[in-house]
Amino acid sequence: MQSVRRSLLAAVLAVGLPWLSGGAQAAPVKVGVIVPLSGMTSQIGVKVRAAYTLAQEEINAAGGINGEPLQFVFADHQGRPDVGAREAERLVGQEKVQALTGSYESGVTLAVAQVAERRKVPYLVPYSAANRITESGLKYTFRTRPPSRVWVDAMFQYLATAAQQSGKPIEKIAILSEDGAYGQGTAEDIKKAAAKYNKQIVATETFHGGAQDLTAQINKIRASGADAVLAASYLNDTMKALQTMNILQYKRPYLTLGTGEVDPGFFQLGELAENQVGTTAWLADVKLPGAAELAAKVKDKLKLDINDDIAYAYAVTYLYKEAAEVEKSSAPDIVRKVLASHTFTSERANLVPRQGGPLKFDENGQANTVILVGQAQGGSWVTVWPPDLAGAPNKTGQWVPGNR
Amino acid sequence: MAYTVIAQAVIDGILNAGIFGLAAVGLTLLFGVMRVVNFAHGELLMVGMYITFMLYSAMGLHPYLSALVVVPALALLGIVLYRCLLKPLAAAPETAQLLVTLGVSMVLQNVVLAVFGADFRSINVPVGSAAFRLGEMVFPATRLYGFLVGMGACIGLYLFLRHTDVGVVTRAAVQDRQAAALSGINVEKVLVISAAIAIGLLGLAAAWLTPMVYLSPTVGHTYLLPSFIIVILGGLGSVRGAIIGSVVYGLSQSLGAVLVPGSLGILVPLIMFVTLLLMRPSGLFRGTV
Repeated sequence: MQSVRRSLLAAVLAVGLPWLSGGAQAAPVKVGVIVPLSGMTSQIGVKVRAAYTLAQEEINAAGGINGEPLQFVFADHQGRPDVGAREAERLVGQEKVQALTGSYESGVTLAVAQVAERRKVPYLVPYSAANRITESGLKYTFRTRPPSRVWVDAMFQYLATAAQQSGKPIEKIAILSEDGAYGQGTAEDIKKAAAKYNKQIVATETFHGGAQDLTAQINKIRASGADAVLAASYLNDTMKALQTMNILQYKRPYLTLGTGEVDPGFFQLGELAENQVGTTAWLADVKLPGAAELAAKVKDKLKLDINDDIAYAYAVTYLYKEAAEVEKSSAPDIVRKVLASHTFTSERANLVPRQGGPLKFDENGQANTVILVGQAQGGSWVTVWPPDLAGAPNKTGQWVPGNR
Repeated sequence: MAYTVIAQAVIDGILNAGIFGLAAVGLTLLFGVMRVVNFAHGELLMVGMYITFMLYSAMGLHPYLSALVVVPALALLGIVLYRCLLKPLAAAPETAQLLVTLGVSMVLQNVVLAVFGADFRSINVPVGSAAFRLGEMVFPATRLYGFLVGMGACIGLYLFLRHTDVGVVTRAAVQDRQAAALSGINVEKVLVISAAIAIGLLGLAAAWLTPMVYLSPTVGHTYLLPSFIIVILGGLGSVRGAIIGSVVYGLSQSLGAVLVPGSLGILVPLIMFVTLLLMRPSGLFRGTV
């Protein structure tokens, strides 16, 4: 009997003491993180959760935010806008978070942004690419990831550089896009950019995501005489397209809007992978102070190969820290004001590639971040564009632009 | 539109028919002999592809050579499927067998998902990027070989059923199982052999498909719906119909993708299917072979 009582007492103490001592500490700064932890894109959510947690641990070990510990509260949106909105409501209403971050699919991000707007809580978006996220007049949404328009701009500017380098002009463009919202939105952006850069669209082909056969589409593109293919395709579709182009001996630059083609899985293509290019938001060799160190830390502590999502999650955490420390307050309205006007100077908040100085949000809440072009060289992805951030020179070996 | 694009689409459509045919003749044979609509057909093909993938990544065995292992393995799986699941339900309503095969398909898909994960996998062999050329026309090597092997096996099966003793016995069992048994035919043996052939042919399809597609636990779906369309198109239970049906389907798919803008091309085989069914409700052919 005695021993039972003793162990009961021990159990009560074990459960109760940390709670008691926790109450004595400074109240934490709570930030809600809404990411896909189940569903189609859950592997991304699990990775970025690890990245957020890594940054949180570092910040707390170094004294927290304004002397208060940072506490992330994670929620799963399952890739569904309705779940995302519900979770955002819960985080703000019940968990009393001071800010929100996360989401992945643009539809979910927009749903969460509506809640943030209504609840007057700043929402930091490190992922989604849909243009309208920062073009709907939202006052509380701040996006560090460039919108799809900037991705497409990077494609055209890179092609101009590659054409100059190879001495073969790239004037005729073919569009290959999947038939969902992502593909159709991107195709529209490509058409607009083509007009802006004075290029001719000679073919517009669509396919159903996950198609095992793109021969018909590539054949029509080949017959159109396009000098380059700009695409909205997922990793496996990209690989299928490149293989088909190779079989048809149609060797042209193929660039898709970053959906993970800049990925280790791409090297399943073997020799064909070498010198292929793709757009991405981040690569480990990008010329930014602290980038290599971050990649090594992610590998060492999280046992993960770093990617753009991880880097953006890490950087946005430090961005929030800086925003809350400017006015020494994490009150939602004060942080929102700081986000709208402050120029971020800390190295870790600036771990994302930018144009025109340190990170800053414009009047729409869009950061001045830029997109990189990566190239597969010797079994890994390296940055080849823009020149000031590139870790390696661009090679034109695999594809020969305009070699008709 | 350039005639070369259309000519190329015709080539692609015909070349694709070989693999479609392999999947479809097995399905039609199972239906003909056992009256079973096998919903696990796509997943059994997928399992064959993963075996091919494993043999290649673990031992470096060329996918085409791995057919020597994959075909017997799947034939065995077919026999097990018949003996353990379909035979005990032989007296039950046909829906019971249908549901069992649906269950098997889910189990197989989730087992592969648990073992290999949802990531896309592919193997990289030289044949995957090789091609033969005839003027402007391109014959991708994997598709050409797939066509030769697939059509060869389908026609082989047709001749087997038509001209050998076992074939005659099988057809007898299809026409009237009871009468066949009464005239001394070992129907049980016929059913076992048919299950082994039908599923074993998927092993052949798997070996020739693996170098040209991306593997995922759901890859079987890509081939299940076309197989059903082909089988119904050709006439349920008709091997000859499945062969012709696979060519018709392959052509409608590739020409649809080229001639109809956007993703609407996917509709062409389905519209063709409905139209043909309206004209010939029981398919192109009748009978076993």
